[in-house]
Amino acid sequence: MKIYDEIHRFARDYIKDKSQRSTWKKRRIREAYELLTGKKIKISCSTCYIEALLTIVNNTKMAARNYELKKGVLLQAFGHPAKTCTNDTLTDELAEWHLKESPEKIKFFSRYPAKVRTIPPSDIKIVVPKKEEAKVEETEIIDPEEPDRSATDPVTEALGSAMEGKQPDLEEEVKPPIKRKPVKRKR
Amino acid sequence: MTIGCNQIVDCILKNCAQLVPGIKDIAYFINYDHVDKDLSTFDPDNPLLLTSLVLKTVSPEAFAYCVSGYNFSNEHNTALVKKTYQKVWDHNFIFRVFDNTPETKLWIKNAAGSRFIVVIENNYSKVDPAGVLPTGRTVFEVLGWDQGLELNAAERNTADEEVLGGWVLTAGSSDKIKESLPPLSLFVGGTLLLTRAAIASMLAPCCDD
Repeated sequence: MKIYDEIHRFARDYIKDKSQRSTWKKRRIREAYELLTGKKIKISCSTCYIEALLTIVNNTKMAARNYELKKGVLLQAFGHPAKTCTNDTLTDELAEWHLKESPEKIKFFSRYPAKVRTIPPSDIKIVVPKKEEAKVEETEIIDPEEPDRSATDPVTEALGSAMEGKQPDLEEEVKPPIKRKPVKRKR
Repeated sequence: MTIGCNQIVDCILKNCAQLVPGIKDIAYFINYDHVDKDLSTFDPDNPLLLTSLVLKTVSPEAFAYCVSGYNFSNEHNTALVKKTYQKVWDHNFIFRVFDNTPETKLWIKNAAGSRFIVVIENNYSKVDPAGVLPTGRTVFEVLGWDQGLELNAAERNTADEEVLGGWVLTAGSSDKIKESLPPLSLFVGGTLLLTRAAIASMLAPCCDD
């Protein structure tokens, strides 16, 4: 079964990228094709290799292992020498044991089921924060019909110019301030 | 007052274990870009002891590729290079390919255009006489950790009496930019057995052929 797994792993790159068509991959395809069909591939026919590859991929399945370690990683657990493993010796049970003991080891895995990320460690209690009551801020709604007072109020203008050291235009008739309508407040 | 950044803090005592020269005929080549330096780890007390060498998960798949010599045809040397202000290290790996197939030439052409690190296996495996330090820390070494090595020379002489028309290849540090440290020792999991297992998990399937 291992030879089919190998072929499944490099099949996509082999078809996509000519530079990946190395001798050992061709040898594996020849071996697997002969194992599967009993037929031999012509050594010099590059199209035959691709056809053989597709036949192998369509008629075999990859080994059903859910977890895979990155190459070169050695998983160890203090006090549990029997749990030491590399990718070559990893099983799903071992992977789940390691991830339960120390979830941060997920970074050493190149393949794992998606649900693993949500498994909390046994010694950590997840506290869900209480929902705060939504506060409704009181907002003043400006009457659209009301003119902008700050811009048109002559008293304000006069005050502003006095602060700036200017003399107000005395000839201009000073109008009394406009009475504002009561503003409705919404809650 | 010291002129540098380091000080000597330990002794070197007489080594009664007999040194064994040479390296094994098999070496492992890893593309420089495929090394996951974030997940690889060092001994906290010694930056020359690599305790985990991890490859990235990339497509096409990253591997350690085997290069097999024959009858001690692989050689390694390293040397201190003194620059004006700093001292750096030159790593070299000389190996011979006793073949001249199109596949061999394609390999050489690809190697000439790439950077890689090389893992070598020394014949010398020191056994600590006091039994304190684990055995096997002197076995595997990593060349080109900082910058990677490149192919500095590739020569084929059909009249060569030693290689008989094969290739003599020299991989080494770049001409100007050298390594900051001597070759790193690789020792994973505290035993030589686990170090071998970790290396085995990186090997390309073609190593079995």
